[in-house]
Amino acid sequence: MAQLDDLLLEEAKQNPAVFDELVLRYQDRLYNFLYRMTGNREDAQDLAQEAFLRIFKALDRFRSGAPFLPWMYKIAMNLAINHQKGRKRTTPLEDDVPTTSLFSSPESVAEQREAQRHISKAIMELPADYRAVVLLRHGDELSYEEIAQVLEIPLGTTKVRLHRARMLLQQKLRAAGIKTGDHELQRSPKAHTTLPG
Amino acid sequence: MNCNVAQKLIQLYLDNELEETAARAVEHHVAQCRECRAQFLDLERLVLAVESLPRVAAPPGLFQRTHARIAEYQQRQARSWQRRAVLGLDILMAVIGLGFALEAGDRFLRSLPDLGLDTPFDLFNSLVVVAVSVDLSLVVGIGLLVIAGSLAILQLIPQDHATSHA
Repeated sequence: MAQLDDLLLEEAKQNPAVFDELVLRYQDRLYNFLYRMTGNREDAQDLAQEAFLRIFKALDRFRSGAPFLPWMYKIAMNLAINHQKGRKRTTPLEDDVPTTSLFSSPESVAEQREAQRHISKAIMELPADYRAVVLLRHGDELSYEEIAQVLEIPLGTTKVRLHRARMLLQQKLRAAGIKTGDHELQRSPKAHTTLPG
Repeated sequence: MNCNVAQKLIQLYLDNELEETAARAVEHHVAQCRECRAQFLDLERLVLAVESLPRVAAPPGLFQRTHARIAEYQQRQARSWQRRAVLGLDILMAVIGLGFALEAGDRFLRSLPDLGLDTPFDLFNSLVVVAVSVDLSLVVGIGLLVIAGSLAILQLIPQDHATSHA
């Protein structure tokens, strides 16, 4: 995948129309990350557009062979953090679709939706830099090294920050009375689900 | 492995960041230590809970709006280069025009002592003679300055930009 990114980036420097391929390739990931960072769909859309525009403007300065994903997330994260400064934090919309099996009972689905709502809320209540590291690790499955590149901090600091973020999340969830082990939670599939209209 | 070490390694284990030997050591310790096992399960459940959040897809139209913003930026860049080229031409014309005008003015000033200006009426007569003689340098110089000034004023008029947000 990294090699394909390199090819697309090099090609896009010469032929801007190729940049559309990069947008199509990463818009879901970028939008999801920004949505989880801001808790607001409209803001996530605006910031996603702005992030891609900044990436396009900086194409000529992007070093060939350097990893694209950390660079993309770094731009997105800085936009999200700057956007949040001075704005009242919004809680996520209650439109998370629980990932359940076909055999889940309605009660189980309702309980899972409630648990996920609390988890989303707890994540939104984290400081922005802790929120980013949790989302990058568990939402976008970036490695420690990639997260360190995004945040521009040492690898050791990244691990410590992730650990602290998790501890803080646990505290918030316990305070909300949410037991994360009570439900048959499954990792979300890599295919994206569309928000209900 | 003691609890202190194990608890520091549990996070790395869950993130698949440990080498084989260290991972087996953590597993062995967690299997035997109730406190560490509880911490391990807590963290594992938390990770699972966060990863269970559904991933949201980009809304319809995001690609088109992004494409439109980038296209608008490219158009602005193209116009910006055009404006720079015209400004360069402005400056060149202004310099040449100023050169002609100064040359004409210098010749006029040099000719003043020869005009025999004894009275203010003599000065008026002399100016009329100079003007009537249609000094080509002065005409070219003033002409270029006027054109350069007009182009510069046109460049200073703000362009009407379309709204960029969707």
